[in-house]
Amino acid sequence: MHLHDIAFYAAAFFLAGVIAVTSGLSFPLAAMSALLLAVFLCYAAYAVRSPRARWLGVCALALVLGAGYAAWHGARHEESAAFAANAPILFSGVVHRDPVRADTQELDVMLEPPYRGMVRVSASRYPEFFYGDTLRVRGVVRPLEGDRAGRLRKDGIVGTVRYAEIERVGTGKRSPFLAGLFALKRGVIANFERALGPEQAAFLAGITLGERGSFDASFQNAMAQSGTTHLVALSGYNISVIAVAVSAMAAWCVSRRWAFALTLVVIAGFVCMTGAEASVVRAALMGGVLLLAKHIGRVYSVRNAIAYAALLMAVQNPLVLRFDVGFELSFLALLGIVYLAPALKQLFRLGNESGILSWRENIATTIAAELAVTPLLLIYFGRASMVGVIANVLLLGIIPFTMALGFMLGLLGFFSHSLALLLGAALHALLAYELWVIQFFGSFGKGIQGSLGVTGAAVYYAALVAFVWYGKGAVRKADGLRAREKTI
Amino acid sequence: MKQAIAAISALVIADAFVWILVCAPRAASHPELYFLDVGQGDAEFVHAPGNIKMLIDGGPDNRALKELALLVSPMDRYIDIVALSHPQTDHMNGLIDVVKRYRIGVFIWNGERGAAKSFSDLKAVLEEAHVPMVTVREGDAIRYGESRVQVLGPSAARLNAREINEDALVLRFEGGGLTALFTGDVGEKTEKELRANNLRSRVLKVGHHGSKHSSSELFLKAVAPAVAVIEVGKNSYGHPTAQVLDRLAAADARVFRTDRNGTVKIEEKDGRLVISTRR
Repeated sequence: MHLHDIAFYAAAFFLAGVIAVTSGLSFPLAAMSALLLAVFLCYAAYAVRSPRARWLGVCALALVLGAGYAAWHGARHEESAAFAANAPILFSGVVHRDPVRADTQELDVMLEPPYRGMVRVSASRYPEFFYGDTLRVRGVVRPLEGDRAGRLRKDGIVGTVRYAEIERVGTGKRSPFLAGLFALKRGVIANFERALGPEQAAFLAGITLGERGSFDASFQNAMAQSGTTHLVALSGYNISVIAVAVSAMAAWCVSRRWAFALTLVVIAGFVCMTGAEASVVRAALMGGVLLLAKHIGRVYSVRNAIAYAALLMAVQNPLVLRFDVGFELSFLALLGIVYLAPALKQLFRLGNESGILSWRENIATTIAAELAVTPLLLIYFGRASMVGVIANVLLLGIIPFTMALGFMLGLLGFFSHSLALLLGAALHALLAYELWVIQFFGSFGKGIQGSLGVTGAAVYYAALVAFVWYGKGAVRKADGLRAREKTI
Repeated sequence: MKQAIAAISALVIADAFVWILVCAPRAASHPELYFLDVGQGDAEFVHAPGNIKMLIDGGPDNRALKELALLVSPMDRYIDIVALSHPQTDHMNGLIDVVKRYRIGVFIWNGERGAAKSFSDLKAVLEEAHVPMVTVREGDAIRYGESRVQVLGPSAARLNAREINEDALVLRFEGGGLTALFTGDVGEKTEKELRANNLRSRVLKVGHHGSKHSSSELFLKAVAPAVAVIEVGKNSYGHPTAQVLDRLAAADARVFRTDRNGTVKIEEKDGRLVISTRR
């Protein structure tokens, strides 16, 4: 077995161990299952004399490592001392992340002694609080409950506070570098808002910087019903726009090595600035691997890049695999695009030409991504869009262009309001069209509704894997036929 | 080749769109009054001939901003006058978002800071944007062409009493045959003092969201409005009260409410008031 295959399977088994323990399986049970699997694979390897199966058996031991790591991580992060139930307490803390602002503000406050941990404080829209502010808060800390508990715990939250009295007593208590990045982000969004109407500025902030706080409930609903919510989840589109722009500009003034380093630094800065949500971290890690492969002249393996990104994210926070819906949707969609789209192109005979605004490519990738994420959407949200394919085909061709112009507007606004207004007028046309598509297809009703259990999802994905397997064979056959025709 | 044609066509269409936006700013030929649906709060927009725009109060959140986007061309990012009647959150908070996004000619107010914490945010964004903050008093006036805005209150004596609602700016707009009185949250005390002025107005912004402590019978007699607009949303105060609704009915005023009618637009055509609503 090649080294890159060993690395991939070891990472995959490690991740499986993490998922097992974070889903509730005890470590001893997970470890025993892993050992049994390893023994079975090694026996199978001996029986059929397959070195590949033997290596798989060795890799299966990584499952024990993953389970052990997840168990250790969970034990290490204990909750803080219990808060007095239903009684207001006075505590101090520092705003640990860039606040999410909508009609209210969500502040993740790292507690100062005698308390430990982090609480999420809901505050009114004004006065505004910022990353690094020291706050004195008086309110009731409620324990985590219900469906949200896992997701909040994944973010390091131990309790929530609403209707609190909040007073700022200090500023600047965190990283000045991050504070600067967040200020830059606020400045860029302010430039959008000064050049565009509120809905358009909010949408542009969403697709360029992942900001979703300004969307009202009806627009969020329209996005969900039109299958376009992913447009405002930062992804490879954003990373590639930044990477291409920075590389192109850097190539004029510095060497190839420095251009590569600068691109990586800017991507890392963008990830930090936008709050490091799962989809953009995944895209940035994979983008970094791609750039490195190009830089050192090695072959880029999408499969290994996906596994590497997931591994790093799971090591940083094992809970992200199980409780971060964005992480799960992002990875599944990517797997669909990488493995399912070629099979679909073969099935629908779309050929290799991309077409106007890449419509052929967009149909295949959209259907592939939708097929890959639909079970998860049904499990978590109870619905999935039926019109998403059409809506996305109408949008995906121009979204990268809108993003690029959006970044230009965001930066131009710092230098000239008049020029930013002109660029805003051009963007106005694009954004008006995009918002119209979302609202129009969002009015088509709730789409597929219902729930899908874990068993149903497993059967569904097994069928998809079988289809991909079949599709790979068909693609290989078609390539072989084309090669023979060329020779003839 | 096909992609090049598609790209060029898209650029030509976008270019035409931009020029249409640049060359056709929306200008009013006669005054238009808008009472914006911002929930439990006040926000009024006056669009006068010469493309003069005045926003009186901003409501409690960003709904005023969204309403403004529907009334003003996307290329028009200038508001001539922003007026704050008094520094309470249901009148003030929405102005913070407006000042951040639009260039403001002048900010007029009564000079009272109030207790609301968000006032510091409003002051900060005004200072950052270098907007002149002008304190106005009874007797001041703003004039542009045939349009005039009179400041009827507060008086210096009233301000000494330091009652935040009673100290609110009271403005009277006059232009193009349309007269309108904007009363903020003033109550009967101030209304009694105001009766010394000429209050007659065809349109009345009803005081304090229809509270029974405002809009006294004598005051309504002095104003004699043809149309009364109550800016109100969901609330636990019982606004608008049955007493005020009865008084307005007795004054023969046609009543509109933003909680039921949405945003109310009033303009004057051929001597008649033309009213439209949007929910």
